Amino acid sequence: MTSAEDMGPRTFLVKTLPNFRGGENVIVVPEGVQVIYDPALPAGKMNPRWRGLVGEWRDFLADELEDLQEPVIRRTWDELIGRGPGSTPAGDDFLSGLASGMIWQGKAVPFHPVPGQTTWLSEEMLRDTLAGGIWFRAKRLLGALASEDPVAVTGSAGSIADWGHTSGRAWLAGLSEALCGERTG
Amino acid sequence: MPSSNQRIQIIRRTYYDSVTLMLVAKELLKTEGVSVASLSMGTEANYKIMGSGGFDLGGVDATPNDLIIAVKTDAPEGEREALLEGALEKAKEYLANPPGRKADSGGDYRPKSLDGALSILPDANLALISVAGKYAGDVAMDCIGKGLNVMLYSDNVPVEKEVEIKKAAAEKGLLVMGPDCGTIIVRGVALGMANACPPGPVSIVAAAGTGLQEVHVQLARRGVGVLHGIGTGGRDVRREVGGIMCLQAVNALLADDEVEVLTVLGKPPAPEVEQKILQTVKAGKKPAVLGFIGGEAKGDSDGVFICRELEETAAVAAALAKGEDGARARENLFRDYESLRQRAETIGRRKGFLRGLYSGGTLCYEGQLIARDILGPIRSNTPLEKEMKLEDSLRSEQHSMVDYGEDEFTQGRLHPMIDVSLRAERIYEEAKDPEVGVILFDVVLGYGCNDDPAAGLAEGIRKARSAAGDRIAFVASICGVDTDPQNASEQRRILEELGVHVCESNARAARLAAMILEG
Amino acid sequence: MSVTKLLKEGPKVVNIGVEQFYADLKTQKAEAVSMDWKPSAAGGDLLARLKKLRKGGN
Repeated sequence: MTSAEDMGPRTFLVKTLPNFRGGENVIVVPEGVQVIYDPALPAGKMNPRWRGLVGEWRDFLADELEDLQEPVIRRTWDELIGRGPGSTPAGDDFLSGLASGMIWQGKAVPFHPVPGQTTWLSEEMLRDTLAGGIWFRAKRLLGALASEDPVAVTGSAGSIADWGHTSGRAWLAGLSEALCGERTG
Repeated sequence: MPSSNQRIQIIRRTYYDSVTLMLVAKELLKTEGVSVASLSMGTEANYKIMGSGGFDLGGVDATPNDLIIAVKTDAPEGEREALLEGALEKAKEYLANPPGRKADSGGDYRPKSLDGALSILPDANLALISVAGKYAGDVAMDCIGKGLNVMLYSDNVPVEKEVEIKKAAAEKGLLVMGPDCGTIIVRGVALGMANACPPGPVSIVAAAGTGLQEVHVQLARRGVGVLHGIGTGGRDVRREVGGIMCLQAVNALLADDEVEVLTVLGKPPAPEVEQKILQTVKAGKKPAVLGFIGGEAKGDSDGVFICRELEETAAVAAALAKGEDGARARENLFRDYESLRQRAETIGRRKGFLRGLYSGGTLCYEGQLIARDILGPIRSNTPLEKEMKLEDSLRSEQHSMVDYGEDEFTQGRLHPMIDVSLRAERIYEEAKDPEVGVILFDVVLGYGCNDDPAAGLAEGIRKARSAAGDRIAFVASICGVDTDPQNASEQRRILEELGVHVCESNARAARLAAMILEG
Repeated sequence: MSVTKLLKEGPKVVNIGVEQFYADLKTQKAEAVSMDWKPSAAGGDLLARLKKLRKGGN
């Protein structure tokens, strides 16, 4: 994590911690830790004017994310869990975006992760999302999508699209599926 | 085994606009030891261009969706490896941060689809399209489908496609400006390559890009602004297209209460198109000036003035805008031109041939018309008459004028208004020819053009002067104003310090250049 | 959006291609958005494909 922008629900402590050696035990007393944002996701709705823009985010699956295409086309969401290389497989990023969008709109999340299916970091991320907690950039984007403000939308979408190698784009594709998919949205 | 003197890397599924790619290639060429650099999409046409650039493309399997970075070196064998590797790295660095993106508020998401773009700017009314010609027509059709007017900067759009697009647009009451339309002005805002002049009472329809820039600038120098300058692309007024958009634009401007004086510009249209334009303008009851450069049409009537040159068109339009006599303004201008003979005398007569090196197509055309009347036949890659065509555009013969904006020079290269290096080299080449007496060139300023063209040309002029001494006189015109990003006065100062005789217009520069050689 | 509207309102531009033109419009304070355009064969038509595939029954 490099900045407050990268904060997720469980990473809020990182900024205030000193460097540790691997394997060291750490006890953290959360009093006095500055709260940077509240990861809880309030219910909301996309302003329909953004439909054209959000709709195109599914095209992120065309290039480096084409491995995700088949399960997405068939809507076999569970197949996406743990799919892809890296510490957060792109399939999980997609699902996190999908779940965030569904929960935001007050709809049921259409997949059910079982422990042990993916990396620990991804598992944490999905668990947080399903519990209604999302990372800073995502929360800012959803806030912008409820508004009329193009500067807020392009700014926050840009900060997610550039995030990680493919993480941000996979997440946006998942959100797009939630907000614009024919059955999900 | 000797190490290879080239390196080719394919980056799959990566797209950059052509200007960005060419700017990066240009940067790479500044590296010592890099002799050829090319960044292009893997289209058949680009394979050809790279092949002719001396690259061995055996085993290269890039598709039109892949980017090819290719560099070649003339360094000694031992240094090649590191040099080529370094150049590829540099290319990738530049691509990660392309020159044109600077003004972009970094990191903002840019929409990939037209729907996406329209959700960001729902009341958009114009699409500026500058993608490769083979895609541009379809992109334009999509935009028209969404109710957008279109400026089509791209060239190489087939004429059948042009007609199809323009008919579709006309049915919806929309404009298609182009293809190959480099300049427009809407409510004083410049799009493409256009100057930063104030808005005002005159509006222009132009089938000639630099023609529009020159008239825009000449009006500004006379204190008269331009509200709209609508380009149509040169082909619009030919028989095949029938002036669809020229007429559509003329009608829109005639109906516009804010337009006090209408100007129509271009090379002479096909006769039947010219008749239609003339009738429409006359019926419009607005003071109007038709500037058909080098046209046969003559005679002013019913408040419609007919001109043959660009500055003349501007001078008459400016007079009309000020409520003055257009005919007298023209007389004064031509009297003024006669005084250039004295200036030629002061500069000192030269012997030999005139060599004109142009970046603006209309300016080159006008330059030929003017110089021909004084010196006789002018050879060119875009000649007035077919017989005067240069066999090789890179080799001048007798009196010659070369338009560097022609396709032969812009295939895979930046437009000469952006990259002045070819012309700078050519100025030096011409100076080495002992039969040359005058070198004439244009410097076009404005948005979209080179940041500092005078400095770019300076190198060539310096070398030319040291090769030719006083044998050659240098004459130039600057198409620009002080409010342009390059500042016309500053550009003029650079040229004058090098001993270049700078004129107020292309018409004057061409006259002065020819008069220096006269008799 | 007719010609007349363009001439009255001034340009509100969707820029497709050369980025410099967008930068120049921003310098002039004109309203503009710049597209990250790619030839559709490079992936831009996935959305259409998705729709077609799903309509085809699954």
